[in-house]
Amino acid sequence: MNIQNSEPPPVNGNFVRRGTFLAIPLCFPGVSKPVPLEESRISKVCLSPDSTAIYSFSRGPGARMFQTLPLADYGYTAGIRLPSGVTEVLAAAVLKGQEWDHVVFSAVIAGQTRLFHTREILMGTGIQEWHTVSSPVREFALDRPHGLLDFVASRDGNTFASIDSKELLLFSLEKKSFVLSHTISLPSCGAYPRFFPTQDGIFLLRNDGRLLRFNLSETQSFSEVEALDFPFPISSVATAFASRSDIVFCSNNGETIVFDSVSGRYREMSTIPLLPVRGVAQTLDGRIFASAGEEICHLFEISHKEKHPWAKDLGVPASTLSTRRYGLQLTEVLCGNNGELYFCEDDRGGHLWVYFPAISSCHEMTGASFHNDSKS
Amino acid sequence: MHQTTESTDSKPEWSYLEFSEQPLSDSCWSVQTGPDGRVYIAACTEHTGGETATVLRYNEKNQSLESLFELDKVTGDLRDSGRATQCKIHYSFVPDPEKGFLHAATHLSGPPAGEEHYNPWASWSDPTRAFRGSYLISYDTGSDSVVESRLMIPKEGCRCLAFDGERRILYAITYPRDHFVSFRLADGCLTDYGRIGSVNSQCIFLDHKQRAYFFDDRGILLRFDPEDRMLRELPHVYPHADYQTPWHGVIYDAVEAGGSGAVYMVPWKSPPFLARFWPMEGAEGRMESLGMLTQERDATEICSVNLDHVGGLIWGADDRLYFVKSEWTGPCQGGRTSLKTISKLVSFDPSTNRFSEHGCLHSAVGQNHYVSRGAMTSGGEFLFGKILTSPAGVYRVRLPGHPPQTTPKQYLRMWG
Repeated sequence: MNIQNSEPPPVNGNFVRRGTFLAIPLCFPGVSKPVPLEESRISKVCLSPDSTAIYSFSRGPGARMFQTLPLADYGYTAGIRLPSGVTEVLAAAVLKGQEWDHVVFSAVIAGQTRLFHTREILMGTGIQEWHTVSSPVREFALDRPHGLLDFVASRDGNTFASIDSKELLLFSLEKKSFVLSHTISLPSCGAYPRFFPTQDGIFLLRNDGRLLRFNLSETQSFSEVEALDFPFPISSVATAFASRSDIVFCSNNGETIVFDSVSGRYREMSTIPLLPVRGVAQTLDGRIFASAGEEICHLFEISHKEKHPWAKDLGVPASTLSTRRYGLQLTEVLCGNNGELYFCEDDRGGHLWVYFPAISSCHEMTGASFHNDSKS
Repeated sequence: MHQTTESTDSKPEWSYLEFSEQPLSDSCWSVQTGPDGRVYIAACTEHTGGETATVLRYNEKNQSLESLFELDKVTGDLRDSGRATQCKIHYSFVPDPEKGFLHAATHLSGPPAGEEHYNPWASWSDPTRAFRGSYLISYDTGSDSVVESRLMIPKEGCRCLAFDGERRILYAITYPRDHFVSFRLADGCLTDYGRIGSVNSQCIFLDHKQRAYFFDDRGILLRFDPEDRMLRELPHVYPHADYQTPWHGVIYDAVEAGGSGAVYMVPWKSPPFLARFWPMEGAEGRMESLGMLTQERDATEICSVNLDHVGGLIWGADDRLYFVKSEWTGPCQGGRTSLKTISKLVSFDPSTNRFSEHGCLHSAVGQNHYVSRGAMTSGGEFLFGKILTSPAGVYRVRLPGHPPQTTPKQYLRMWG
């Protein structure tokens, strides 16, 4: 465990008391049996375009896909087994379809990365009566030995892009299936294998620290963004997150920076004192939260006041409403439309964790985050 | 189902032995019969920062306690290190008849000096205060010396311990992460089989194939098979009240019925039900509920899991199960500190399915409802660990007509 001295860990720390964590079980509590402990290590999560459904994927033998509908009168999770041999999902995206949402994901089978798609699990409401209908998982015939490392969907749901080590790949929807329509070579220096979709376009981080921007509806070329050089080596990016106009990057050393896609400049934030940083996300009001720590994680809130940096240790995640459980291995995180954060729990017996930040933090919003709001 | 219990005329002769040489001790979590037939006891200090636990032995001849060693001195993790302390042995004494050793794994919860509480989750990454880990201490009962002390589980405590003497492998549940691990004595190899949940099972028991059993927080019975080294869920849920979910159905204590293979269990759950498990029957064993053990109460009140309690399971030389259950007067809420409580020694005769009470256990100070573990000396006396007072102590009980032990197999229990 590497701990920096910028802010020491708590002397007499505690569980998270600021904001509320809920651990959502990967089943319909009281109706269906929880999946085996070994098949519930959640390592990947993505949201439906309207943010009402959360898709999560477990890794290991017996990997599964789960769909959680936390809102309205649903409140349960349905799951399907992934094709035999799948041990991990590397990337996933949900595309809005006319009848139902499509889920595309790349997964590892016997060391090879392969591309699959299925559709949402149709779920009936969850109080008086319920039902589920799932569709089979189908594989794209696609020879990409280096794997597809991330996905991003167009707003109309008819197109999505993926990326491997050499090319950007564009897929379009034809007859309820997807076909590869274009490939675009990446710049010779390569790119960090993540898309950063913002309201100002989709960004790629080039290995030389420059950002590239493209738009899925225009698509045919990249435009280089006039941005300051990236402040630490791209190889040391631990995790990142794109919100409406910001992209948050955390380094292996816990350094946190925010790229403002409107102004085109970086803001250096505080350093997270506990390593490794497992996941970072920014809420719609600009607040930044991160999960960090190797064996037992802590939740941190990072100030977005550039001139007054701090990283506040909010404590160890624990859930008592709904499930009673300690959240020791919270990793990747996404932000829902209601300002809630969804965390993967990559642990035996893992749950989907949702965090509702404390509303009292709003008084700490900076001009930068109000600026974000004004753009929407 | 609530059991009817009879009173018996065979009142025990009993006394309370206080840990007078450990005045800061506040609990006794482990009482275990060693390979020499004598009973070993942990005098634990978890509520005073910067202290440590002492291992004691009961002298049956003069009914006294002798101090053997202090955990911090034999581990080298000294009480004033500034870290969470080696403050107790928590259900983690196991006998090693082949070597004549008693193995003891240390546990945490005592804060560093000057502090009142220790949160092991939040302090996990604290570079100066975090617990160093559970040490395994091997004590030679023949030469009366510690022959080895080594770090067994880094950064975590050992909640409970079991010993497969054939393979010379220990099994443990870690705290706070709640992982199931094995530790090979020959080379010190620690294998982590992963997280179980959030609530520690308080006991691991073994069957005649040396398979290890415990429950997770969902109340599901898990079995580890040393042949294929797989951990499996079995289709058994710990018995509980109709109005409850199976949650927190982890076992508190378990004892084998005199080599028969049947294992009697009580849970760390209120109200506690007695269960009997036959691990060798069929592929997955057979579970029976023998009913609720403690008093009827208003189930709309929230009762502390540590007030409505059963512990100290012993299989007697008369082929009866003995245990100690709590009893209190009035509503159970607020019971941890304000209620006057007692413990009752009860036996269960499997030949008649009848329960019998053998009188009360109570010391002069503190509450008396919580007995942790029990053990039987080779002479047939019972000892029960007491918490909730400082200094802590043990109850010594001699039942009229209860015979002494004859063979080690009758009194050795291979789990804590």
